[in-house]
Amino acid sequence: MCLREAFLRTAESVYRFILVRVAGDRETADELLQECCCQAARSRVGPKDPPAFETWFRGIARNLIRRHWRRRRIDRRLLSASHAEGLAGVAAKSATEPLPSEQLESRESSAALLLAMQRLGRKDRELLLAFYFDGRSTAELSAEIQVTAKAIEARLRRARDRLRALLAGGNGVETA
Amino acid sequence: MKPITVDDELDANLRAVGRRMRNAGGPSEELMLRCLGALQERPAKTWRNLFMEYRRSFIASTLGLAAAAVLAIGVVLPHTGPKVHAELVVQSLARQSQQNPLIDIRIESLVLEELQLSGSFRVGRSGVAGNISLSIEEDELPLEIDAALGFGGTAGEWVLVRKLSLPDTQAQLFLGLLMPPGQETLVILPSESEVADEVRREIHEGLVELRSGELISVFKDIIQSQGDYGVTVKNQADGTVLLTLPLGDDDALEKIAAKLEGLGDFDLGLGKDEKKSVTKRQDRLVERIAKGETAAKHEPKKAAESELADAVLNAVYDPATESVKMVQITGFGDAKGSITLRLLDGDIDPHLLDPKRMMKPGTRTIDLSAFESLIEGLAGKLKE
Repeated sequence: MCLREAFLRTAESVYRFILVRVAGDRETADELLQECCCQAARSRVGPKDPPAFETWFRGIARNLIRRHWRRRRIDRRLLSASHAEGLAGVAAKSATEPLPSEQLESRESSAALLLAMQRLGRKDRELLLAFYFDGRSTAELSAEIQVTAKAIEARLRRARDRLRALLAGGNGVETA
Repeated sequence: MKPITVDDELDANLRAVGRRMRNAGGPSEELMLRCLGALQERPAKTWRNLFMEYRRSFIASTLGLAAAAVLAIGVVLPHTGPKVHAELVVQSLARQSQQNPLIDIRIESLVLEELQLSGSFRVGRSGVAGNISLSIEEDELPLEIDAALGFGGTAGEWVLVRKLSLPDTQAQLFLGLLMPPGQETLVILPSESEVADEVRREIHEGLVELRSGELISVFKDIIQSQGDYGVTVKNQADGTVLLTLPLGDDDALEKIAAKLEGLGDFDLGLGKDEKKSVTKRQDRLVERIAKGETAAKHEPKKAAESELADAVLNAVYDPATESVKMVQITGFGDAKGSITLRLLDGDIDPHLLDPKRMMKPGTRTIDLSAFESLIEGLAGKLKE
């Protein structure tokens, strides 16, 4: 199987993987996906079967996402004051009350939550993203991490606690 | 505002936003095309990289392009042009390479990025001889070489260095002791270096590669899949036929480069069963790619624009002897340089293999064979 076909089979999944990790910014996700392909083509050593390709490709994407955030220093420097204020409001509300459906449909609500997640520790962030944004079940995650489903639920709860603290303006950064 | 005592609200909000993100759709078709184009990118898109990739078979590639041009005539103009048939041309090239002809190569004003190269070489049964002037611009100091060389013949293997500048200051100082600036130095290579054999072997391998069924099939495929590359034919007064193939055509160039890189590059390689499992959206992409609508069309074609826009390939074919006489590429690189390759009869002139014929009075001689025996002697003493 050639590199391009392996990419075709995994592109949507990888794209979502990137999208949620850049706070739903499609323009950035587009750029990063393309850059991933450039790096993959340059390396010429990537696996061709889809599962292995996706793991390898996500590894490239993860590095690029990390570089992206390092460059942008997350939200405070890149957002205009008014935009940041608006997002902070949405973020705070999302932590303390159910948002109305029309607000949940807005890009701001996604961006607010995803930006806050970037400030979480890696384990918490990846767990929340995998569960809520990649749509993976606790059973799947427990099989992957090799802990019980109850342990996954407990970890999710703790991650949400820390996220809520962040959204409310506290220090929710994981220390582990 | 409802106080939060459990995390149900945050959980519900996260689920809702997560669903929205999952349903937001994947990459656009345009993005997919760009990505597929990026995955298809190969260094062979520039002439420099193409040559680097195929340096071992540079001769074969050049001759092969000529063969493609000749084959094009055989396929495209079988009735209106000269009666040149593809198989005939291939056979004649194979025969010529087996006959080990005298090959004359001239490179004029070849400038590719930091590399500047001019020179001429003759490769025959008895050896290899030539002149080379090369410069590579480094950050501060350039690497410059101006030399004549001869491998084979009674004089052995030698390089007559007229100018040598190294990009490293310390190395240049050291070199100055061996080769004072402004003075010619004849460097005799160790007798076992066998450079001539190596060069001849490389060229021979290139010619063998040209004859290989794989390369021939690539050219045939190029011709059959897209016959019209804009080749023109001119019957010359001496009975030979001049074939001209403009290389500035981006599409043609892309395809030639891709073909030389490997036939699979423009084929997604999907089997029938595999194709069925690909989604409809992907099918559409596959169709668009199959039609040649790759991302390459959405991006500037830098290689063709900068290096090959005015490049032309000329080949002279002699129907009487059924042989290719000359292959030439002109107008490529930053200085619109040229490479000319002639296939001649006979052997290399022995004078070209004799450095004394071209040395100025007072030329210093460094015999690396002596250095080698000195080093070996010292090593032996140390072992003792």
